[in-house]
Amino acid sequence: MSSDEPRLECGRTLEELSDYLESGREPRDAHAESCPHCLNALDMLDNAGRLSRDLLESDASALPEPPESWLQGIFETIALELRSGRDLPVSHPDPRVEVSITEGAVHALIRSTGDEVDGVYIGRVELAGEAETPEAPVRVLLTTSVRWGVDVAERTEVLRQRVLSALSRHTELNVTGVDITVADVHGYRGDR
Amino acid sequence: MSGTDPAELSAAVRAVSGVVDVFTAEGALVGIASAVASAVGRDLGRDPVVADDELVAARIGTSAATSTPDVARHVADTLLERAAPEARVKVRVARIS
Repeated sequence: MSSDEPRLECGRTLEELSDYLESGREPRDAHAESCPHCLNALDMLDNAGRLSRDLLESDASALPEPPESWLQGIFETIALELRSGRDLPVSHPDPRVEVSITEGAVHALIRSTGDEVDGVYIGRVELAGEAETPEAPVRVLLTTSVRWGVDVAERTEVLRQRVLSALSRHTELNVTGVDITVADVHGYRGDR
Repeated sequence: MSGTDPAELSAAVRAVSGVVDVFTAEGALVGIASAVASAVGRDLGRDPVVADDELVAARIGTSAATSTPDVARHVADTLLERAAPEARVKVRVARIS
């Protein structure tokens, strides 16, 4: 195991978790099943696997070979996003109380919400702005890949609305916009 | 106030609607200890809620089907009812699923 493998705050590597996922989460890993970093990572890796399956189901011969660093890049992005990061405040009337949501939990929420949109895969998530300050304006920056043939404008609007809805329900962020960059197209079929 | 026994507080937090998990305290030592225990097939006993006369802290996971701020505030209120009068209460949401 290389020391520069992407590693979560709890010490686990994403490769270890990927192997665990591939084994059907058996035998049960007590730490991974009770650690928020690992559980969020397992969700993300599962969604990344969905994209891989999409690619395999498509006419792979029509696609250029993915670079060797592709999977490593996904791991590094996920590891970075899953860091607890900033504490995003939640209001409470009692001054003795401090309630917050970790930035990592919000990243994972946005990613899982986005990956539920058919034809869209979330590549990168970023909260731009002083998200740790109550009521400060925050923009959500998303980099995505869309499946070949989908209506990109329609899919990105669905994605935008779902992310806004999830953040409205689960955070008190003052989200002023969701900026979506479509950086890639996957599942290209040459016979279409 | 019904006491600050961590096990009792953990049970009270788990009983809040919308809480799907209560995680152990953060920190590298906890992570390493847990990983070692896991590697030898043991699950560490845990009282996830940390409590003393000055601070009561919980790290939770919430259900995506609920409102996370409402659930987290409810958890804070639950801990406040049981905390020492001058104690601070800290609730951190680490996962929404």
